[in-house]
Amino acid sequence: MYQDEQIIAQLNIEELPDDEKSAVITEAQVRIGETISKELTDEQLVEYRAIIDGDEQVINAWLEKNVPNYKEEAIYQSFEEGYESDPEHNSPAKLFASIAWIQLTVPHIQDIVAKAIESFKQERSVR
Amino acid sequence: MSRSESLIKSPHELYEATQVQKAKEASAPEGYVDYFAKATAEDYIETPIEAPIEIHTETVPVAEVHEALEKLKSEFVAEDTEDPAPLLAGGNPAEISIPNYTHSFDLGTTAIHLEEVKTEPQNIEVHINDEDVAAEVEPETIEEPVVEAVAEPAVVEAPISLAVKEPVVNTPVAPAAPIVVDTPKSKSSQEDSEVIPDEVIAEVASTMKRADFVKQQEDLFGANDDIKAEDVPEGEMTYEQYLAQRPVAEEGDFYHHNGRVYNAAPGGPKTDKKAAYEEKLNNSSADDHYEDLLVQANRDTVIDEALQRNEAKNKEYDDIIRSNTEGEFLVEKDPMLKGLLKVGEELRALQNDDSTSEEFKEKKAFYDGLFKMYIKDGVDSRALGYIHDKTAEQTEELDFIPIEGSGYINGEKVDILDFTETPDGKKAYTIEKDDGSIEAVYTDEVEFRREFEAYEAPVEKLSRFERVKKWFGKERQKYQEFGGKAYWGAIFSTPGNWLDTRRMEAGMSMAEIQAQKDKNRVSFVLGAAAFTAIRVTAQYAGLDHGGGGDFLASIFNGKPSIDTTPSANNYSSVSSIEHAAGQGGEAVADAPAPEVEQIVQPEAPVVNIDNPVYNIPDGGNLSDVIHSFGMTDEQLAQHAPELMNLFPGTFYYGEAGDLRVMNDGWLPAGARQKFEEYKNGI
Repeated sequence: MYQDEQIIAQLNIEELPDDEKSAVITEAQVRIGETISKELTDEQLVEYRAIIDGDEQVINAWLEKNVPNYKEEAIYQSFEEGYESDPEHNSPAKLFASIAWIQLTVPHIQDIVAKAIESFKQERSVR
Repeated sequence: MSRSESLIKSPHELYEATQVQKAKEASAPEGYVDYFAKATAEDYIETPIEAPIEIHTETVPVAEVHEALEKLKSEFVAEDTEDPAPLLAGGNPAEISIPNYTHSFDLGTTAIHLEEVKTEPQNIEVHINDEDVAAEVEPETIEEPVVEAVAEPAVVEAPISLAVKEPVVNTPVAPAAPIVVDTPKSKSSQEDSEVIPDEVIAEVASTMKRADFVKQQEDLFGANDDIKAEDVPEGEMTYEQYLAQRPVAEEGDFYHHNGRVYNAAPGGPKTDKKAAYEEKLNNSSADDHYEDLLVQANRDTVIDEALQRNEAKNKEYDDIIRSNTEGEFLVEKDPMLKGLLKVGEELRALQNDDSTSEEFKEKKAFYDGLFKMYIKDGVDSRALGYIHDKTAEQTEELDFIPIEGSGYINGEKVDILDFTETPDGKKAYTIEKDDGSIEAVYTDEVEFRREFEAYEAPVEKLSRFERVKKWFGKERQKYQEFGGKAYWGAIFSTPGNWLDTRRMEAGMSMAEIQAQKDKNRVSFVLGAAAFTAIRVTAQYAGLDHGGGGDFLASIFNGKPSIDTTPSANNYSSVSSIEHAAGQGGEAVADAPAPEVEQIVQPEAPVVNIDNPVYNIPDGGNLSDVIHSFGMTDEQLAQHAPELMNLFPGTFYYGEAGDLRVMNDGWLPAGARQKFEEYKNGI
């Protein structure tokens, strides 16, 4: 499982200030996202974009089809609990769906993440 | 203030003093006695010609300068006079000041002028009246002390021909009107100007169906809170009819949006933002995109600077007002001064009627005589300044436009709604006149007032990329100041963040830019969510850890943060999502999640041959990259002009003249080929 500490160690950025670490991690995230998006079809990307844009119709339909009992999930319930403290009041269903979607659509996600980070690390070492 | 200090004038003071002097000399009738000599001599005395004020700064050993000057002094005294007392007594000391060391010569009324002292054996030349005395010094080392030689004029004496046409006192002239710094218009107020005028709404409202009107407005412009359904009563006009009766745009009409001015399509409705925006999307390039960012950056900086200038100016005027207030008080309690004020006001009234009349001339002579007499008698300058301001012709106007807001252009009061700079360097201003009309004006078409010119002055001579980067830096600081832990996430939700420039390339259309921005956004969330999915799943598998939900929510809030939550130790459950979905693929129950170290890392090549470009996320420095190709910095410098020509829009020169990478650091494959060639000496 990935923790930020692991990524920080893997990228050899322990010595950087926190904000720069955060920037590098953010960059790593984008690299991961770009790597994942290369493996997705256009339709899948459209579906995911609709989910993160909060399209309730898509979210509900997707959840209904793939995780019909999602409201019983501990993760979903934790999102519900955090709803009030979320400044933007993101829909718990949206948050849940955005994770579940990746889990189900990109089964080898851990490998992808690991490779993307390693590739990023190599690139950083070139610079 | 010491006398030596009072004689060191700023360029501005010297200029003003020169102008005052010229005006006096030009207008003085023969034999005219200048009553202001006393008032002006101290402040406006000219520097003696023999000893122009010059300050040379050079680095020399202090001890040697000291020794040389001591020697000069002794030689001067020994050779020129047997009794140094007359020279040493009185007068003004000429000073040579050295940081951490000061030496003063008391040479009476002589001036001393230290000229260049360099590392080679040089003469220190001391001008004593018209005679030069020289001594040699040979500085051995270049050290830290800095020598400043301050010349002192020999004679403090007012220039002879000090006569003035109009009384002048030392009190600065107050502005004719109070300085009003209008609050800059907010974005929303700019947008207000784009809202359809009330009268048009009212006219349409009388005939058009309310719901249709609102719906069509929203279809065209998006939801607009400024147009409420209840504002539009029932009517019969169709939207087409409404469009038909609206003013039609002519050639040159325009509108502004988000800091830029766009041309309205001739023949189309003047308020058709959507069409013009789409036109812009289709016709704009990546350059325009950067230009948008630059305009915003410039506006921020320029407004900051204008505010600073205004602050200084306000302080200046505060001082003037305070002085005038005190002057008013003095006049009020002194019947003689009140009388002078009354005469001055009568004079002004006469001047307004006919400044050539005999009565005016007589009254002016009387007033001038009184005024000068009071000056001669040493009446408080604040009181005289107040009277002068109240009686002199008020010709000055508020002559600057501080920032966006109200101001004057060609004497006409306007509202500055917007400012933009076109790629070819033209500066366009969007102004709103008193009658509500909106126009674009260009700097070469109008006469801007003094401060406005300052407002439009370019901020810095930096490359476009550097300026954008700098702006991002400011954004970073801003978010940090506001307590954001991770500013990158915070600016994720702002229009000018780095995700908006990622993967952008010169020549991209706005539509392509938009598509790339959208792709960037999705990639960011995808990555963050994937990242989190792994973590949250493991954390929640055993239902014994919290925090994952907050982290995920933060993805959507654009605030990813460094998670310091300890790693979960319990990986004993199946992913709850997979379990719940009923299609968990390969169950991982009771199996520990794979650790990073367990993953076989690919042997990534130092240079990815399959990847036609190299990404340098922060752009800028090229040195490390070319080193990886075996090139040296010298080789890069040698071939920099060729690279600039071959790959326009890819590189730029940094402040130090070094070649740097633009556009988030992407290098085209051709550049790599060139690097290989350069390395091999081709």
